Amino acid sequence: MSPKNPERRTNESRSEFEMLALEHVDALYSSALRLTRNERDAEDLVQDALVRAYRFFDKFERGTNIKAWLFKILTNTFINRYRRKAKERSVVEGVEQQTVTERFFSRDMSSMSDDPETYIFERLLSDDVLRAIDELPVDFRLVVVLADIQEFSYKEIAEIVGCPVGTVMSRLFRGRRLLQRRLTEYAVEHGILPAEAAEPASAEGNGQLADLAAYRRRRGG
Amino acid sequence: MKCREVTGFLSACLDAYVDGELDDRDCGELEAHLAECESCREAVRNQARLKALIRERASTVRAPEGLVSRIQACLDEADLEERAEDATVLARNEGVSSEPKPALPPALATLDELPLAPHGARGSRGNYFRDPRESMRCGCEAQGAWLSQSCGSDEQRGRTQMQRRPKSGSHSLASPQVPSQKWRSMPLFASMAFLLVFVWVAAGGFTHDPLVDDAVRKHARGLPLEVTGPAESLQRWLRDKVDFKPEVLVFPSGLEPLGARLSHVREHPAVYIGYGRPGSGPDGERQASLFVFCDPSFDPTLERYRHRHVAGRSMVITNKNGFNVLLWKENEVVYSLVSDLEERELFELIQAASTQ
Repeated sequence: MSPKNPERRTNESRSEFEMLALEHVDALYSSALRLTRNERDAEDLVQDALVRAYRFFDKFERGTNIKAWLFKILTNTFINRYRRKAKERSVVEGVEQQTVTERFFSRDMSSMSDDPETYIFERLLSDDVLRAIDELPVDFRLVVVLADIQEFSYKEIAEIVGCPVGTVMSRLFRGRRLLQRRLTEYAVEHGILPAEAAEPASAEGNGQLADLAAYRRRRGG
Repeated sequence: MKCREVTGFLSACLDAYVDGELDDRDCGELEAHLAECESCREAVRNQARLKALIRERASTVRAPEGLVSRIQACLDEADLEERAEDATVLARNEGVSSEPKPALPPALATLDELPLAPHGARGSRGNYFRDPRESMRCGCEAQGAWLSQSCGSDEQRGRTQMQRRPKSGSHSLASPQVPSQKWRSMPLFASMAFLLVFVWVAAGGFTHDPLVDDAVRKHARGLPLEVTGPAESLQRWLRDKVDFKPEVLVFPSGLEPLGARLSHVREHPAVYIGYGRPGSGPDGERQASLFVFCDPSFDPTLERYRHRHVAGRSMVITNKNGFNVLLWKENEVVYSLVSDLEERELFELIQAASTQ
């Protein structure tokens, strides 16, 4: 490689990178904060991810979704540097057992509150909501963040995280149920909900988490 | 009011519906059901509210002040490295070709007759230029493997390699800008000069090791420290910052850690610890830089490196741009110590060093 004018080429691609990438710093940071759970690490993670993105900028296909590309790099950087693998795995296993037996329509949330229009969890403080998210096992937390905070599609999430769409759906489902359970516990703690709300519903009907594809096959479509 | 029908559906269907991921056909079916089922409508409503709650509470977080400018500083660093890389590549392409060459033609075998570069002069940084005749003799001995860097063998212990490019006289790089196959038509002098440079490269004169280059560059620039303090607090700070376990080197005297930061050596995430004279404070002059990173592919036992046994370890010792560089490996973790200090003092310090 013998660049004609290396300095100018660097300057051009640098401005382009800044223009395209820096607008996503807030989004990257807020997700990094949920992943690393502390501000210092979140900053470092965003910094590392953006420097890596800059180094690989010539591999980015202009016109494609740069936010997804940046988040993929953020996720990889996170997994490589900050994730404590062994500890998280055992937590996920224990939790999965419970989720599967919990019936989807376990309770009618609004019937629990005086005002049927109020969504019960809205009365929780932001701190509690964030804490509940942060307490999710990292695999679930990651997809919940990408889907519900950053609003990526299932397909985009699958690419960012590097797993099949079915896995994304399954993790989202489980993650959200866990979150709901945790938020219920906080609501009971704060007296917003009566104590019975925290009891897991009895397993009724089909406790299996089947997948959409299998359902379609059975349906014959 | 329990919804029996929906057990026939997939629970995930409702989530997917709220996420906008159901295709038209499934959507139609679900909506037909929803029209008749209050409890499912309720569930959909709750699911949507949960999503909205998460989004609202978590996405109002803004990046802290100064993060963007810190990022830009890192991008500046990356730019500088890129330019330095490009310059090196340019110089290399226009200078000496690095492909293996055929055996030395007999006429030029006796290199003793060649004019000499600065010889035996002791540089100001305690790095002395090796007598180039030595390097040429070595190169000559290894005729079949010009670039095997045989000068890096243990026989050369005690002598540093001549890393500084000769600046004057017949040894400038101006002449050898001809491809190797044209040497026969060149005047003898020019071809000798070409050969000299060639051998100089073979001797490691143009240290081709990108890890060393990068570490030296960063040492020379004096990276800003992210955290300062004594070794124990640095070791604590470093815990969980990287995937591997870096050990902060502690010297009983002569050098003390000024601070640390996270950095890279090439593409490897690395830990950087800056050292200075004791008592010089966090802004003190950087006398040495320790880079710790993970690189399973780096092989310190390669013959092309000069080795030295220090503190029970085999270390690579090399020199670049006047800095002495020590490299060693513990399992897959590479330690690279770049320093202004003279080789002898460095070895004494390493000998006495311990880890936190």
